[in-house]
Amino acid sequence: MSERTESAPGPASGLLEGSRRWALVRLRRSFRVLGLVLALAVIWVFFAIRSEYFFTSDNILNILLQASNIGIVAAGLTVVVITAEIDLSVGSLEALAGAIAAIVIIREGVPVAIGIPAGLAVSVLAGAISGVLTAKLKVVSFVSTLAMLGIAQGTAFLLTNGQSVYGFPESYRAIGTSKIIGIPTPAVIALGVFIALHLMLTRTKLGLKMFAVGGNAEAAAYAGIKVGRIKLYALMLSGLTAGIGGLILSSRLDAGNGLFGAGDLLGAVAAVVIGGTSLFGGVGSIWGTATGVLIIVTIANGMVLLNVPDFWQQIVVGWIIIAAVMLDQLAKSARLPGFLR
Amino acid sequence: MLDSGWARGRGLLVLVLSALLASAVLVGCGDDEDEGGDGAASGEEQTDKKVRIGFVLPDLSNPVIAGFRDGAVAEAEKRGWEVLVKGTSDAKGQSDAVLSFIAAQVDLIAMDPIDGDAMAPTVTQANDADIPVIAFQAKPASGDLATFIFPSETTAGNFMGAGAVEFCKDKGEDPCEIGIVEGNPGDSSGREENEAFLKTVGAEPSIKVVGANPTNYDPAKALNVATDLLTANPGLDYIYSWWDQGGAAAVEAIKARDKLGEVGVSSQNGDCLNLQHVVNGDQYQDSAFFPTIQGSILITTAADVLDGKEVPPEIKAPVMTVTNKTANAWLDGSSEPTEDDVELGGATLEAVSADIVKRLEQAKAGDCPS
Repeated sequence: MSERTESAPGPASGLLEGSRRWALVRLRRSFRVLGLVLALAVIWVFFAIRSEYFFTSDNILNILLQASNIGIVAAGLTVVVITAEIDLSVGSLEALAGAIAAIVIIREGVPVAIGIPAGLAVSVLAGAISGVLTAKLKVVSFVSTLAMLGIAQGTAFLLTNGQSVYGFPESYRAIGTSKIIGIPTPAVIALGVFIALHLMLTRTKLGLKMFAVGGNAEAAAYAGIKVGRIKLYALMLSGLTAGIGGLILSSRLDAGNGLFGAGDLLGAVAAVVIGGTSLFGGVGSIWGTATGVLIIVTIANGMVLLNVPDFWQQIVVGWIIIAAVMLDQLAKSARLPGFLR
Repeated sequence: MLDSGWARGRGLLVLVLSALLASAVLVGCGDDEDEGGDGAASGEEQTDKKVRIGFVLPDLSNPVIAGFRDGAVAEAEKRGWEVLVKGTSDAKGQSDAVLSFIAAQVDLIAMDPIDGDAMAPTVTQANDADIPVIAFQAKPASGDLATFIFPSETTAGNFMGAGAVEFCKDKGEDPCEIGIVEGNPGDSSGREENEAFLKTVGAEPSIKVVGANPTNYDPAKALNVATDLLTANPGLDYIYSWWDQGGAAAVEAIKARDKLGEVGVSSQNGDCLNLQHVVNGDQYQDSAFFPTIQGSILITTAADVLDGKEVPPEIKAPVMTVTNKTANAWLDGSSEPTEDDVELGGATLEAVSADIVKRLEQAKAGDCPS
């Protein structure tokens, strides 16, 4: 039996039968996340020793702020990857949602309360289109979301004429710039998204089905799970989180543009991989991804404070991804003992 | 047995991976000390706290942008200052860098925003933190600035327009067809330069602009755009690129059509490769910036700002036009740059002349920094 089917609750043996195994899976995941948190702590200690400006409340809040929108995007992407699919359009959907909000709110003068749902609706719709292409027309998600990447970014450029549309009202700006009990609002929103998605994945039938589909789609189908529908939901969810990330980003930058967020795809994928979510599906956790995001953002922040040339940042993150993937591969291929698989 | 074997193997693997990661981080973070490069440990004994300047730039793979950094770092090192540099062409990345500098309580922030609108909120945040901000090369849309240091994009655009007009007159084509390789339409400095170019060539009735496409400052896209312009317009006479890497891509596209010299090229920055093309006659004209001089002006201006001296709201940096004729004349010593060739701004003609001749000599010798 492959690692994937062992890691996901096996639908072939019945969903209820997998409860003991499910508990083991969660335990393993907890250990993985614990390891990541430890790695993050080591990185923090390292930067705190090297720069007196790193471990200050201002800078920690700054790291949380910078991690927020990419974290939200990566959380949605995690759900997609758990179902053994990929969403390459997340960065472009961020840009599209921000551009739609800018056009609707700034140019058309529509109230913020309508502009926000408009931006989110468009990104969810885009996710749904990718989902239908993947689930119904059997276009692999790598292709359907790659196509959506171009469509979304092109549409954002078209709407904004390739330039920034700027000057949001204060109520919209507050999404990205205000604080709740001293914590940046985007970080609070991100925490809310993490908790919601974690609960969805671990406490609902939908989440269980997502792991089952990613672990073994054929077996899941035999168990009566509508595989296509689950993948559609996952891509719609990813569209929604990309939209939320895009709105936060446009609020922070006080502008919408076809480029804002486009660079987040690589960071989000890296965070998902570092967080221990298997690109083969069936294994993953939101908290792992959240820690992966914090690792990436901390390294970027710390290296700026230490004045390390930019190119080193890319090299370091690249090595971390390799290390994470190696661990994942090893866990899959080796006959591992106990809960560390 | 298998379990204990695996446990040993796993321990070894974790050790290897940890070493890999740690070495990557440590080598990366130790780099500034080893090279004495960006100033974190310049080797100078400092008892007082160093003045720290946060400098946000577009991507450092562009030689001009790297030149800004080098000029600033060199001047800062003379003073025992530290320049924290972040180079990215992503508006969010630039915004994040400014926030990091604010959190790190730097003494002054300098920024060359890739998107002036998107960077405006961070200027306000720096203002709120009482950190003075100097705009460099491009300006944020709003916020209080200590000053704005820039080479006139309008002058650069005028120089390139004049080059195109001169080429068309020499060629005697009517209409003289021009194609444009644009950068990022959201880049205000690029738009300013483009407008000046269009205004200059627009005054010449025989000149016709037949196409223009954005490339987001991607040289690969620039090569495609230049190729497409040549395909769609077989009689194309001239290509104007917003920046030098696009200009170099246009030269390659023209070379592939075996039309070198037949189709003129203008671009701006003064990259070594483009100056080489100008000297060889493959590119008609280049508007050269003086990045290291401009970077140095940043630090001297920052010193004035931090000393509380009055600083003008705008400080011009030099920009110069270089054509095949003038470049070769300066190289063989038959003439020298004059004030007609350059807008000096805060620099001297001697410094600018010495800088450009040195760069042309390097370019002619093929000794371009890699």
